[in-house]
Amino acid sequence: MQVMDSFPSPWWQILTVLAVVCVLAGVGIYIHAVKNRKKNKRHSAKHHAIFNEHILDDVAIHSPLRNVPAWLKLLFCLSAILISVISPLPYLPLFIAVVMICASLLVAKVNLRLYGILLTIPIVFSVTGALVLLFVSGGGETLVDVFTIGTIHVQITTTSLNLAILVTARTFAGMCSLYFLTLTTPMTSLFAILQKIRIPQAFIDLSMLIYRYIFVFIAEAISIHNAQVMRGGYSTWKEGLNAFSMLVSVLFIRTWERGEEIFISMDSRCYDGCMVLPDEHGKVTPLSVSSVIVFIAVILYLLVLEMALL
Amino acid sequence: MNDNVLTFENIRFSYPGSPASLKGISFSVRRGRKVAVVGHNGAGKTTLLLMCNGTLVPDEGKILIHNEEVNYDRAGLRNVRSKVGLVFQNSDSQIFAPSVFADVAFGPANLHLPDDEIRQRVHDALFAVGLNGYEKRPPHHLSGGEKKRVAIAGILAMHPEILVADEPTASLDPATAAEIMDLLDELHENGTTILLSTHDVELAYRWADEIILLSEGAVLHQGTPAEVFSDNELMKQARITQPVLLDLYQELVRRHILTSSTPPKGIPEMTRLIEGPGPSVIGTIYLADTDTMTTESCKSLLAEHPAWHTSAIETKSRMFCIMSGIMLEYTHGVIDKCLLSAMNGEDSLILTSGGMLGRVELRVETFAKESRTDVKVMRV
Repeated sequence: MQVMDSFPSPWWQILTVLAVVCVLAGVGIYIHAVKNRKKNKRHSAKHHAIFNEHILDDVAIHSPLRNVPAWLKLLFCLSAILISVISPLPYLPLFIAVVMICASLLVAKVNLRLYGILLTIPIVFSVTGALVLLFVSGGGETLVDVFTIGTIHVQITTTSLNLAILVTARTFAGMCSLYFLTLTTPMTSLFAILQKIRIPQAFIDLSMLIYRYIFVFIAEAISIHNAQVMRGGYSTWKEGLNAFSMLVSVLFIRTWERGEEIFISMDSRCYDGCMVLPDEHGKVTPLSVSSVIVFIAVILYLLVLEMALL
Repeated sequence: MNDNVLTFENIRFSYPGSPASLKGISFSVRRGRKVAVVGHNGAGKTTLLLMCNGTLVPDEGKILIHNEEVNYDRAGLRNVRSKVGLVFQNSDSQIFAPSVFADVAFGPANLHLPDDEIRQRVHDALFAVGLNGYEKRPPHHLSGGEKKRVAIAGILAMHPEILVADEPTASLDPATAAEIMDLLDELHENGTTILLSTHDVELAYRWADEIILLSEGAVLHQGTPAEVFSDNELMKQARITQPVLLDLYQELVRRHILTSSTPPKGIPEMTRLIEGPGPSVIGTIYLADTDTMTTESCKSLLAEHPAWHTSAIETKSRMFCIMSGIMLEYTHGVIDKCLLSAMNGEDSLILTSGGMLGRVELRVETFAKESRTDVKVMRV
């Protein structure tokens, strides 16, 4: 991290203050929204409408990029993630994030509001992580000295600032890349890739069953939850704790029963250790292949450039 | 050699630690029959069906499939399960693969068929249930009726000789339930013996050739629907209600509005009975084979006869109508509706194909003979 001390500091000082203000404002707004959501039932219903348990799967299945072969999309996203993690400066991850956001919104035509809601999740956790890094890690010149107790200095230094920004940028780029993958590639088309890269068959079979039953059990959990709320569960904190433990235990029993049923059902159809993979064959188009190649070439070039810059 | 495909001989069974659920069940199902097992909740219907493919092993007694005793070793069970297909009540526990294709292909793949054959079977099975084009969908994107169809397709792909369905219409809306029953009729027409369990007496009365009345783990009676459901004492013992149509008929007979004859099987028979000495003008039912028709020929036929009531039976013909944009007047209970129109002096057209042509003719002829009404069927 030695290298990063060579940044022009007066500008960074102003930027730091701005960034901290923005982050605090963001967290404030988020907390406010969460609190309001609890008070305001209409808002909560509205929020629910766009964010049901199937949403990611739905979007992926109806994505205009669904027919692009999954391995190509996987290559696109994995290379982006890898390079943004390698990148020593925050510029490249930010560039990748912008490309991914544009690809998700313009090419994959993801709903803007949904994407916004999805992005708040990584923003919140990467910003909280960065805040800790900002005050705790040391080294370099001191920019803002918050307070000192004995030998413990709580201060923002150039190194900690750069590190915080770099980590935020990397997380952000990684999340944007992952979202691009999740929002364009249904899980069903990834199973064939798992088999191609020689993941053990038992693992794939299990993950296929798990994928299928995630949705069954979410639906089950929601209906149990509804039944509890209807009869006054979760009214107080203590009641909520009790109700939640009941939900979990009932869900466990249901899982067990469902497992027995699947066993009978598989047996009834002559199960002999053979699960069929979903039949998914994407179409390789020159446009998709060339755009992925161009993208990887560009980020590799930028990576080399960044290395040279240091 | 008799023609029984499935025989239960004095079957007794109890789940560990609970009282006996089946107390000496004996019955047999002949090839090509439509049999309904009717009984109250907890009568042992599901237990009985789970015995049919060797999932549960009876404590006492024998189960014979094609007059051969079921062998409970690995190879024997595989053999039984490829002959007897079991459709569960809850489609969610039957469909476990992540996509429709993977689920329907599961059975054939485990029978170790070659890839091409698997593909062909999946295609045919999905076509038979009217879900072609759904291959890539994950099951949680399907409605209840579609899930049931996928579950049935998964069984069909194994080409079973006997289809056993546990409450096939439970938790489906009436229109979807009627579609599923039409589908079962179609499968039956193609030579599959069907055994289903239900507590829907209306459905059992209309649909089945034969009823097995079950109560408290014992067979109370096996016989025709009219026989079983006319016996009030039997109904009371089995804790089930009488079908509305039969109830009405008996009530009308009691009041001397109708004279006692064979109980009506459906609305057309009932209408005929009430109507008395036959209508003066009787309409004709025209049958068109969609296999030999094009969209144009069908449309011109309809244009020539605008007064005809149009309807379609069978998945393939219905798809044909949807593809060609033909509006159908009747979609459920088609033959009955057409018979009623005919008795009212109106003509109707049924679009269908394959074995259903003969089936419609048979149904109309039976009706004509039983109710002495001169309804004609004509192929166009």
